Amino acid sequence: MDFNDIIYSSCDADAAFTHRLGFKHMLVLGKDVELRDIDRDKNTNAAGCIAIGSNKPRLEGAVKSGAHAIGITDYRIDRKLMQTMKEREVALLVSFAGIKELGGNSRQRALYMMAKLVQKAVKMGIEVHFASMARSKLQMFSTMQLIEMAKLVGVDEAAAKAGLSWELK
Amino acid sequence: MRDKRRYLVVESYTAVGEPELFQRKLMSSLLQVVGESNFFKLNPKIVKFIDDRRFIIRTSLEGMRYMVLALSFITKMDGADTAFYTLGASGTILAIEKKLQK
Repeated sequence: MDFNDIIYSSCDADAAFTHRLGFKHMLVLGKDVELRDIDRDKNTNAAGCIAIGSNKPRLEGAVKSGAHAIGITDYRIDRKLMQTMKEREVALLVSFAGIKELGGNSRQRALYMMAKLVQKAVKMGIEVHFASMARSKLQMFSTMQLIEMAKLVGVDEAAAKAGLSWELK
Repeated sequence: MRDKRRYLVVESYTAVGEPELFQRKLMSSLLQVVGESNFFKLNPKIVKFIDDRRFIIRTSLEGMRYMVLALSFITKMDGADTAFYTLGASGTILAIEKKLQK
């Protein structure tokens, strides 16, 4: 099974490092895949993009416009949004780079919220993808680490591996 | 009965430096992340330094997944930013070294 990760262009991961971490490709945001920050950009047309943010009506707009995947940055469950994601077969993208930035209670709280969100998505039958979304090498994970992180937030090993082996449509 | 062990190849973001000092600092960071009630289950020990960034760490089989997670959560050592990447795991040092050569 081939694994891919999504990183920001500021993250200088060369091919050898990518291979050592266990990935086949690093999808670079802005180059291989477009990212739309829904909280900053009022335009909710996110066709073929990855839309991230916490504004639920805007995220729903992005889902309806044909976004490839949605990242919910505050990890709060919104049933209406998730129902729309299920109907439109839009995946949930869970990124772990932010977890590295946090510490202590904040990290534990974020992991708890993330786990609730992922478990809800799995229960509803929404496809869940995992990525680091790293801005620098410091925020990166190896495939082993991402699989364990995915298992930590409530998916089984097969789903964790499937969540790392996605390709852009 | 002898405990089952796993060996992990780990890459550090920063150079390891003096091995004994690094081992002490890493164990202290792991203890902080894992907590006193679980650290003994990991039973970690650096068994070999491959180069200035990579090393092999031994852990118990049952503690392996917690070791992988704990290494992901270490972001600072001695006040400096760092990161650890788990590159592979195996049941013997020989097997993990063979994997590295591929």
